[in-house]
Amino acid sequence: MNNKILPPFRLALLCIAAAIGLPTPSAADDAAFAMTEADFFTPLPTVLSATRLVQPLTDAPVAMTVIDREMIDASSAVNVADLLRLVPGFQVTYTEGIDAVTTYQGYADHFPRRMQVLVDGRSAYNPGINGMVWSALPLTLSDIERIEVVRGANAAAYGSNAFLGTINIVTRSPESVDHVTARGMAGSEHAREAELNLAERFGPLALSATAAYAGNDGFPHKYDGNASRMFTLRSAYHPTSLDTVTFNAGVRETDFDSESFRVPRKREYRAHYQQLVWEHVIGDKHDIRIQAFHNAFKSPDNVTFTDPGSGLLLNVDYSLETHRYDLEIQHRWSPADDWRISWGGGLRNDTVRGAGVFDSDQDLHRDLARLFANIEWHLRQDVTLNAGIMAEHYSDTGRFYSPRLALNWQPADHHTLRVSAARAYRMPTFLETHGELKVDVLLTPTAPDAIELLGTADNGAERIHSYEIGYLVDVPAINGVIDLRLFHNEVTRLLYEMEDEGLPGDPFRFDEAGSIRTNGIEVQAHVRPTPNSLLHLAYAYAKAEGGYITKIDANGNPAPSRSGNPRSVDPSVPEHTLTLLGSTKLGDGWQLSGTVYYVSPMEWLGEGDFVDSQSRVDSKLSKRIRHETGDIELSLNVQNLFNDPYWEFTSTDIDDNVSGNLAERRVYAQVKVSLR
Amino acid sequence: MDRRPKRSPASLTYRIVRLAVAMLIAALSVTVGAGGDDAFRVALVGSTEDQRTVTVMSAVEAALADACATHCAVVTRVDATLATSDLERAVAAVDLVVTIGSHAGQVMAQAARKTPTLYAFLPRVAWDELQTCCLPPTRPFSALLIDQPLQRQIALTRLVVPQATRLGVLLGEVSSERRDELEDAARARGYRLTVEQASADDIGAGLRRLVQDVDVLLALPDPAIYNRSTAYSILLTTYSARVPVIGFSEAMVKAGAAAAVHATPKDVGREVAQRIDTFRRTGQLQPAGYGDLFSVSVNREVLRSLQLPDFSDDDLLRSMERMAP
Repeated sequence: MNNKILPPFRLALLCIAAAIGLPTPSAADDAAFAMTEADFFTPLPTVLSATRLVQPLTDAPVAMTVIDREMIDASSAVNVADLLRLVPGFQVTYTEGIDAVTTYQGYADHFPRRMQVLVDGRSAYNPGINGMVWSALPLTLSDIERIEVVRGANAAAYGSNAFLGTINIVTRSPESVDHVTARGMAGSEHAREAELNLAERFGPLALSATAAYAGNDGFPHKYDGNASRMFTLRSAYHPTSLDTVTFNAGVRETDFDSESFRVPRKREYRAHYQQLVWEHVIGDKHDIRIQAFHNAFKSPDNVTFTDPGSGLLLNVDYSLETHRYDLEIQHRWSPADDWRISWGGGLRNDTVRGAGVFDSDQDLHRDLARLFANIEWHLRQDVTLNAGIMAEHYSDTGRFYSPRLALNWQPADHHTLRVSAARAYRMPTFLETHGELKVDVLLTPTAPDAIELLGTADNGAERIHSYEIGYLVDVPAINGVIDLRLFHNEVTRLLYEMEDEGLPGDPFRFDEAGSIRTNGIEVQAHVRPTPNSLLHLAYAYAKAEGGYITKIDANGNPAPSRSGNPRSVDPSVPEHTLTLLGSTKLGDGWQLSGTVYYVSPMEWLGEGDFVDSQSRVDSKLSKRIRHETGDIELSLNVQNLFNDPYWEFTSTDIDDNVSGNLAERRVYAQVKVSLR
Repeated sequence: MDRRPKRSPASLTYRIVRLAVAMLIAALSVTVGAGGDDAFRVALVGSTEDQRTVTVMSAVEAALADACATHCAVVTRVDATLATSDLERAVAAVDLVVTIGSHAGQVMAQAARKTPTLYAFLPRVAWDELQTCCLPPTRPFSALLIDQPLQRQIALTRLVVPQATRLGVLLGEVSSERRDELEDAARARGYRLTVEQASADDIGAGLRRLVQDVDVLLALPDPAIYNRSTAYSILLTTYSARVPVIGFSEAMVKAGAAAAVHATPKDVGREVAQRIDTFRRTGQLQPAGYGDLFSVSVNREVLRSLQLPDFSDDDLLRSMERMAP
């Protein structure tokens, strides 16, 4: 029996539990070894989410990158978005110290909006901009169990917006974390982080709570310091061996200095979510998952500034508040050994409020009803067919059908060939459909207000046809899996902002602007040459063609523009993206990792500009000290080891002033203490 | 925690009622084959309200009936919840007492009787306790344990996870007693064994360390380690690390372990019948130990997800039987 002294936090948690009548772990449980034959027969809670959702790569209809806990610990990433550099074809940059921007196969502005992001099955991207605001996500790196990134369109499984890819983040179960974990980190640009996680089990209920603070001064010589506070709660309850109820909630408050849109000011994000999931196993062949969640996001941002050109005092209200309410039911069924079926439906309401952005005091709503079905059929021992379809009805844009078909063939042991085709849609953002961003001229009543951005309500949805051939080879000799993917994507009805001379003030108006065709190859190798070492290679080559209209004249025809019209998409898609991660355990608790990143030159859209090639070498050294009562882990993480500065993101304003985010060497020292 | 059912002092009326029930049960004795004065008499003592115990009893009777040719046995079911004196009376004239389950074993061990007794359908740890507390070596007894020999679990591990070379085990207070047996069995199959000592209050940290260093986790029966509260997190952690679990019960396989070798109540019943028959023929009880009959369960979803070779329960059982010594 374990008689060690309880840490005070844990003691507090136990006292609260006892006060509200929850069963607490006791010495009696410890000594529970009056074992009988019943211990061999008692039904145990079924680990449904783990065993039935995950499809082995050899059967999966898509190319996937799994970033597991081992890779997270080995990597030099200091936030969630940084981890995505480990995925072939992903680009990660920072438009400001706080704002990480992640895109796949380039072609993005401040707010990449062609990706689905799920956290434990909860769609977490912001419905206002259809993009991911990573700095408003209540989630720390320590909370993550693994990230599964689907490369390629997969709307049949995850709905529209699973357009170029899907990021599926799985958090650590409250039952699989240490009782107490405390972490402190300090580093370059006054980076400082503190985090405390408490976890406890009360009979069939497990709870885990995390409180965290993170802040830094952003990029050198830039007004982008930031500080963020968050709290998350995760719980799992097993009322019977066939039921699991999980409730997760989180809140995050981020305050930051910002120069975006050329005006230095104090800004803030306020976000929270609540998620309830019930999973129920019905016999050996069926299970049901019902999920309800709510996401909320608020970003007040009312800016008053003097326009340097005209000298006028101007006001723009960028404030945005969004809510997403979602209910989904899914039934998984295995009618025979060779068949697995997953089908279900869902309802969603997105509500957006932004008086200045939409020039309206009214809330804007978009309702979604959807039905989906995915079938996995093992035609033969060596052939798997995956077919799926998602039917969606949006209250404003209409009906969409996103099918997917994939055939996996294993011609020999350890070799899998995959051929797949999919269609997916990207719903326009509220800004693209209803935007009416006005610049109010203050103190000069004679000067008319100007509309800066205008959404066109009848915009259709962007459409992608995605084709791929994949080859997966498992090499037992080096304990490795090598994954090749050849792809061809055709995006049509591309929505983009074009300067419209036909409207007063020549505002930027979102409309159907062009098309893109992208061809490429991706290589991923995940190798463990020895039990103590790991190598992960992620490489992508992509070549895009096509273009989009940037300016139209009063007659609706393309007008001359200095950026070219139509503007070619080719520079916006980096030709090469490479990441190589190597890590080795040196014994006695020491671990050394190194990462090399390279991204070809690319042009960021919107406020962004041309950025030269980026290359960087990171290194991380950690030492784990094991003790009877817990572990201590010390780590030193150096990003850009050779201090070879490069530009993360640059933008050029209308007066041709270039401002950029220079990435220099950054050093972080961290200590993490976990108590059992 | 003492899991034995608590018994309150019986009132006179209650004792009379129980005696009547005992007599009724005796009257309903199943006679396998022709009875007679020289018939071989066996009492099956167990909790007759427990479904699994009843399944074992029925399997014993059915197997004996199948085997019955010239020499047959008279089998009597006796409810282990009767008062000790009633139990004594119910088993007074039998040649062999077979207890089914831990509770029946305790009850009969505490009664100072000389009748040869086979203690069946109980875990090894319960059997060890019985020997320590109540069974002088002079009394003729034996045991048929519900646990599986470690060689058998490790043989299953070899079949289900053929690539594995590093075997991990979480040991608690109960299972620690099998450490030597474990080390021998792992060595014999060429596994590198990693053991983490854990307690009911502290499984997570040891488990997370373990899954980083092993290819497969072998679960040994230990209520402090594997129970309703802990199984979920153990299976989740191992699954996340893509480490398959070889369990010791069908329940574990249903919950998410890759496979398990275990004895079903029917397996136990059939084996008890074999041992009864041997005793009838030789007058000797086979030594106490694990059974020869077993079943295998696999979770094909888990095998598929972890990209392990696909097996059905029957495939595996046949392979195991071929490997069996």
